[in-house]
Amino acid sequence: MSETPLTEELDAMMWVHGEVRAGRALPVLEVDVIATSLFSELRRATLTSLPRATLAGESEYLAAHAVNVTILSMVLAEQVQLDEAAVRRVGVAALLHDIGMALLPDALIEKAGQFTTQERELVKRHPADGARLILAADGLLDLAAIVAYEHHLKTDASGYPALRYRRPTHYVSRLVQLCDIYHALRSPRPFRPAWPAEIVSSFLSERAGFEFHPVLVAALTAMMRRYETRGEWAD
Amino acid sequence: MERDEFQDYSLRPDLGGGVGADGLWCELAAAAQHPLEMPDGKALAEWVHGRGPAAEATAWPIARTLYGSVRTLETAPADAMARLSEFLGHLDLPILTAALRTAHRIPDRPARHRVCANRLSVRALLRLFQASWNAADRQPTPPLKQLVPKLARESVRVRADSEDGGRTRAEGLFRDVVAGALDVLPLGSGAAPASPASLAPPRRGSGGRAEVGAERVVQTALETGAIGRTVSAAVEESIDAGRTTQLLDLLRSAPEQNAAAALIRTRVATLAALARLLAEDPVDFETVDVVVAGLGIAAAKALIEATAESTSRVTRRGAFERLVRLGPDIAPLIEPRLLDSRWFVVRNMIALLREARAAADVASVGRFTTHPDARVRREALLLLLGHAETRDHAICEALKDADRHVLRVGLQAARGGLPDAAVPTLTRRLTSGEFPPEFRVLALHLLGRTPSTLALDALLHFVQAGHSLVGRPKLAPKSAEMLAALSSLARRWPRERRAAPLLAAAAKSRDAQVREASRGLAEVGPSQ
Repeated sequence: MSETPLTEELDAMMWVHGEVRAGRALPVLEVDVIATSLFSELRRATLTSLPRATLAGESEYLAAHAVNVTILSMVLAEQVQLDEAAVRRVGVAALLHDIGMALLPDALIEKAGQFTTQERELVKRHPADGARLILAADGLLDLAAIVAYEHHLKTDASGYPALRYRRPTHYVSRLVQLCDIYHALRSPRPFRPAWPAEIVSSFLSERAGFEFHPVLVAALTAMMRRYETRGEWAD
Repeated sequence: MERDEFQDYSLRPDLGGGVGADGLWCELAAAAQHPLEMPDGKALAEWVHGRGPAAEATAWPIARTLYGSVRTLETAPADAMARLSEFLGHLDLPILTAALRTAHRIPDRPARHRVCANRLSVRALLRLFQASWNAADRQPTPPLKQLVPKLARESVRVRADSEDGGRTRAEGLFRDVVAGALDVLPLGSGAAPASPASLAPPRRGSGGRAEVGAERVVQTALETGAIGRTVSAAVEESIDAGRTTQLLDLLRSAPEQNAAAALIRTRVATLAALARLLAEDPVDFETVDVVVAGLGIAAAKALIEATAESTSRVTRRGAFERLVRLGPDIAPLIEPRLLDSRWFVVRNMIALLREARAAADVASVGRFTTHPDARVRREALLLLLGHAETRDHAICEALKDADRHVLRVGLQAARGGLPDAAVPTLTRRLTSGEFPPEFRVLALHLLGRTPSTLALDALLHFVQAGHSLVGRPKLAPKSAEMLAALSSLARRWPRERRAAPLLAAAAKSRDAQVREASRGLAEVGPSQ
């Protein structure tokens, strides 16, 4: 793992979440700058290590998750041969994939136990809330809005939100979804410890073709085998 | 800066383009009132600083020269750019800020900034970025304060470390970010920031698998109720690509009370779109309904056009029904169509006025009661019958009409009350024999309800067939008309001096129907 802690980007993302929580418009310029900075950091990555934000406390989880999913997503996008402009767009989309979660109470995000039915329903609103925030922003952020909206939809039509208009999930939504799940499972949470890398890879591989895009699963698991040689993605 | 001064300047064709990079530099030096024609960048900056309180007076000439020379900057040789970068990189921030503050009226600044972002040195560009925020009287947000200098540092570091394309790429990222940040700043104007156009991701078509179809954006917007620049752009893109019908299809399934649906409706629900839909055969009326809902009363024009002009009866009927649903407000749009020379158009327009319960100008419709085509007359009378103030007149007109359909309308209406003014016409026509036989019974019953002696005469006309040899009134041969008239006499005139003997004679008749009629029991059949 790189020694780069990405603290500036982490701070910046926390600031973005603060803006959203305060009911202000999504700061598009800043989001773009954060994604660009992360892309720039990736240029410094070596073949065996990736930059990663480390969190000082549970309150930073959401921002750290956004930053780290962005790193993973951009690397995976490069792995599957997206061009540079597309990789940067994937970065912005990944950075904002959970922006709707910023509207949830901290206590819910940091909750140690299982969600109640009511809490689960509240959490399930974050894709639509996120898409609304992004679409209302003063920028042409179509991909980011789509990814925020679709990143909990599965290949087999399970997941959420329920779609009024049936359509296949966007390729980049599926790409970010995998990185989202990968990072979430590899991170310790108040309600469970981090999963080991090989278990996460097995989890994804078992569901490839059913819940997840098989080619992307193969690309991500191969990619992470390279970067996880020292178990670096566990906090 | 005075506005006039700016306007004079803006009319100059190309300040720098004609004089080249060296010419630009001379102009800059002259603007700064430097004694040398070609001082180096740092020297020129120091010269400006040395002018003390007068330094800020050079701000506008510097800004004007810089911004006005963008085309020169685009093609200027590297050494000229290095000199300019050095100048900007060394210029005191307050002076550069003052220069940028004067520049807020310069048109097309974003394009000029992009040229600057492409060609100035990293240091000069960072300086320009800082001065721009100051000039806009805004504080850069914490992410910008931290990350823009970080990107600049990264550019410089990679420049030192890398021989390959890494330098170009790192600088490119920094320059992109600064160009975007400069675009959103309202330099000196104090207005809200402009849209960060340069921050927009590459438009559709350039991203391959990262490409997002406009339809997906619209679907997402409809599902979330979101609106915004991205949604508007997707809607416009769909319209430009001729996919209005697909948008309308999406709207058909859209949730009600949805901001995105309302936005899309305002864009796609146009008269032109409605006209296109109505010109199809067959017409997709479900989609038409979406457009009509969006247009409201404005849809009437196209619907009236279809009602009048379509060769398809189904289309005419569909358009007609939707006009009726639009209600009485359609009246002013219909009235010009009443001048149409084609009878069926006029008839349909009058029918529309009637069914939409439009408060039509009665006088304008009244003239159609004498239209050469009975179908128009009938429709006009039906409309007039619906208004209390014109009802009696309409019945009178209808009862005069030779057309059976029109006459039937008048008689049916008169069952609710025969106007006194209609009695002379009705009695005259009945007694002269020109009245259609199938309506005579009904007409006689109607006459039986009025106190008019004209009506009495007419009834007697059908009941009495002269006198017997001894001078008694003689009953006419039994007929439907005779029975109807007899019954009417029994009900209305039982003791009238001419009616009473006839009723008495009828009461003694061997014919049961005649006896019943003499007691006023004959009824008007359902067919009448």
